[in-house]
Amino acid sequence: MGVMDGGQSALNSEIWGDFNQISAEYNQQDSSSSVLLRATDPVSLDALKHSIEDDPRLNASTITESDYYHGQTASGAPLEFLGILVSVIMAIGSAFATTNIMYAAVARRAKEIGTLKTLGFSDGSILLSFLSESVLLAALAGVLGCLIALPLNWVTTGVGSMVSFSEIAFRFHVSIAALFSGIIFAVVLGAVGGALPARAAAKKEILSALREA
Amino acid sequence: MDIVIETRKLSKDYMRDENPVAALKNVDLQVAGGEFLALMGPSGSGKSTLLHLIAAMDRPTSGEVLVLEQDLRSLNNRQLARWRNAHIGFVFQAFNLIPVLTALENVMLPLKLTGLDAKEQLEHARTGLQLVGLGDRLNHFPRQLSGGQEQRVAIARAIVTDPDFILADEPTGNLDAASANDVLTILAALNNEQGKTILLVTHDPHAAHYAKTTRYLEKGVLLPEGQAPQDWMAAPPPMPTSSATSAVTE
Repeated sequence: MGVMDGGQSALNSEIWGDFNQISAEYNQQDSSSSVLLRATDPVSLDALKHSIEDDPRLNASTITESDYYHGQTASGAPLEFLGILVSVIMAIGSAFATTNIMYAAVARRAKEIGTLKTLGFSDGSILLSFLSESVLLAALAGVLGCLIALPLNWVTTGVGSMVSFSEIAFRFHVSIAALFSGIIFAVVLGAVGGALPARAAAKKEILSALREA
Repeated sequence: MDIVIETRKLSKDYMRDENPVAALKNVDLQVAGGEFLALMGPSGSGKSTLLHLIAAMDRPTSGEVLVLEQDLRSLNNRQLARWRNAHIGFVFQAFNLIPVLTALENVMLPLKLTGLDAKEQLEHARTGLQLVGLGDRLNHFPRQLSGGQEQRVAIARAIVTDPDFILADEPTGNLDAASANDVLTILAALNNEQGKTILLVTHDPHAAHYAKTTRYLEKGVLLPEGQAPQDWMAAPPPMPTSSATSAVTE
């Protein structure tokens, strides 16, 4: 009994053990799907590769460890695509939600808009104030989203394949760059979603705005 | 005395169910500097419409509005906004204070568009509120004030930029008698002591008695000076207008 631990690395998707023991356990004594070799130095790597690939008895191909893991990572591309797709759909939804919220704010504050215009605030000032509000709210929401995402940092999980009976382990990394990008993305969504309501607020006629209340 | 406000053949039509309705018909009005003019008339007589046209809050169908010898038709929306900030103080019937701002912040609002720095804005706003007897309510929000106090904050906001004239649209319409007297006393004091030109729209004869002159509008027509609509109710006796802001009670 024991615990297999790859140290929060990609090796966590594999079980490492004694070759003969595991081969016997899985009744695979005559074959192996892969063998990990280490060349003594980078110069001898090519020689090692050729000697394996040129030996007809082995019937094997070679791949460097980094290429191997790169290939493994590529198998996670559909998952990444799915994540991006969900994000885009949610972003579009968020932009519409922002628009909806800001239109409601403009309607609710029509009297204030009329008052501000009477006091001398220009259409541009009104537009800028509503746009700023939308962007600030979105930025705040972005920061909140980042805070909610933070606990996922370094969480490792995986997806299993029922075909190959293998599992691809992956780890979430909430980097500073990702946080920054998230907040910028939220700000852009706020600006996009708030643009039309802000324009509507700016274009309101003073008297109709005062009467809307 | 110089003419501050002048309208020439001023008309305004509104569309109602695709039919034009004349709200104002060829109104010729002159208001001299330092005057306190009450515009009276029943609901729908066009008095608020006239006030809105003078404040450049609306555009006339025909005719001219000359304010401080400037034809407002020549200004675009941006220029009109700047002009309103520099030259007029507007007092609404429903006070129209921004509910999330304190009394002091509400009064500071028009000053944001001036070249004054933050400290000067604060000083001006504080002085304005002290002038209307609310020096001890600087940090109160509108919901923490009575109707009369809210209207006094609105007056402070209207005068804080030292405008050339004050336009008041039924400023006592939402107030009880005591608060209405306070507000009218302040307006009269601003006219008497500081020489502010005031145009007061009201349908309340009592409020009109605080003004020096009263003109009547009937169905969009400005009646000649000294003439009132025949069916207009008898006005109550005039109220004293010489009181200063110290007469204002909390």
